[in-house]
Amino acid sequence: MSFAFKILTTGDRAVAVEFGAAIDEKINARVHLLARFFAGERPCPGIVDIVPTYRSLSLIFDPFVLSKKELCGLIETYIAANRDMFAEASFTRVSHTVKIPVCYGGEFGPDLAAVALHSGLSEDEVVNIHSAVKYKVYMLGFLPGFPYLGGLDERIACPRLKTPRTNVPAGSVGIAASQTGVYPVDSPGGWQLIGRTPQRIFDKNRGKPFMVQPGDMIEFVPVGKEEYNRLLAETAVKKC
Amino acid sequence: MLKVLNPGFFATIQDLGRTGFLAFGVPQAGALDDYACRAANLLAGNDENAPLLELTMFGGEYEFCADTLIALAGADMAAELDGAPLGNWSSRRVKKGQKLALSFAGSGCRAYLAVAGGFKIAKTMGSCSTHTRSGIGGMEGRPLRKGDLLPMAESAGGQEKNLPGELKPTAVPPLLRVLPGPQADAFSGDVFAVLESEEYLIEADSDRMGYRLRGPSLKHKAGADIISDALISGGVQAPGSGQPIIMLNDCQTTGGYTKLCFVVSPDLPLLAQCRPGDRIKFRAVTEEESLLALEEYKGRLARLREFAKEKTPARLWRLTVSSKRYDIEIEEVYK
Repeated sequence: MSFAFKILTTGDRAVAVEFGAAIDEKINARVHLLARFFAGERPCPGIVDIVPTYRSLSLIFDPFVLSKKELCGLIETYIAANRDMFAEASFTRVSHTVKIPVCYGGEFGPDLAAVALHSGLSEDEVVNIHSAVKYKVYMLGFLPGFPYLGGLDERIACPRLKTPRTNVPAGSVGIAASQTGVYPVDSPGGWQLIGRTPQRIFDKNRGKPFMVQPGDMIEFVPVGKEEYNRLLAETAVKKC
Repeated sequence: MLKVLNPGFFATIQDLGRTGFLAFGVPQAGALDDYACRAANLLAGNDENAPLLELTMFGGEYEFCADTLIALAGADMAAELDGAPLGNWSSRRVKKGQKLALSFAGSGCRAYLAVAGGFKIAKTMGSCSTHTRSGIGGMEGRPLRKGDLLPMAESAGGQEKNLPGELKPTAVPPLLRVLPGPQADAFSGDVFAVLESEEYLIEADSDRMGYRLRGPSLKHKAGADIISDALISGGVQAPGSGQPIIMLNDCQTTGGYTKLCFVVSPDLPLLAQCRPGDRIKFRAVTEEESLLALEEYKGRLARLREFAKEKTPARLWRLTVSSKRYDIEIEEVYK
């Protein structure tokens, strides 16, 4: 299988290596393959940070230590030396399925009715469709630990709210266009909220602050309010 | 300890920012004015990355619960120590019980207050920088409140210094140099001619995440949305309205609007001192020009470090007594 990439200039201290212009598992796998090369043990001094996204890897560098030219050379050499690996790239962290309990509707999902109305389905059908799929984590971004997921059933896709809420509680599960996701922290937001999880996908005080990582699969498991409250209490105890 | 008597308009603890966690969606945060942050820390005898206070528009009032050396840099907020004026871009020794009051910024937007040894704040993910939206860093991830006690090292002193004029940034309305970005071709017509044509006004709803601008509209060929990818400070993106937004240190790590260009890093400190209502202009530059700008900034930082290492030079006096000339050297000596 062949593949293409281009290195784009994004200011005087960053470049982006773009592997395509689509949300696609192969393209995303190449992004994370290159990310692994630059993550952890840095291959050279001057790499400050990396941002793997759906279809590109941004590399932020210290221009006083490493020149853009040197960095571009390093990227090209690495990809050229590993062409077969990049061509065949696949990226699923085997057996990393994260189950996220969600209490749908009611006070936790104030927009479930609106999503149902927009889809021409009942609320139960929306919940069934939303919780039937395993979603792939393509990238983290936006806010700490927020997973960008692929795989939302188009039947329940729904536009963002016209006027965003000034505060969406952490744990809220929402839909925006063809995306679904979980709010990691309290934040303003315009997603249609259909439920809430008692689990914290980001907790700075936890040994592992981020619950999911790119390559993981996420499954939403419907729970009732009692179960939600029991799990919430458990989460609170664990924190102490 | 530093006691917060009044945190002013918006005060947070910052350092040079958080690195290594963008891949997890954790923004870089950090002092918006890189130069003033480094200057304040160097004047206080600190590492350039030491945690300090970033004060916005109105500084507030603070009491020192121990002797130390402090330094101020960035926007001039007419600082007074127990009522006596205190110079900006300088360091002064303070005594336990003394109070520092900072008023409204006469010009500029952000002032930096460093204490010798830095504030003793636990790092979160490698940095003390506060990111309020994530609730991490600094004081419990939030702006300072009245009554907060900030732990700091007790310091016998160090040398008081005044930064020479040539190392202070000049207060001119900023002309921001920009490098074209990856989605420049998503805009119609000669978009850089439009961008450079007039001034842009910084809107009121601007903060550490980004500056919203109002000015000539940047027209897209076919929509403003792209597949979400990385956002970094200095990035200039344009949503459907065509009104640009300049991303700053607290910006989310990824976003889905077309990015027209990127402000070159050496101009970001100038931008950080702009406030809502100020006007800015853009000028597109080439890769070569951006490298020259970096070299120039590197040179300024080198001179700043050099100055911080120097002992305060002795002052020379020339006395003439009975038509005989004497050259006298006067050196300030501290115990």
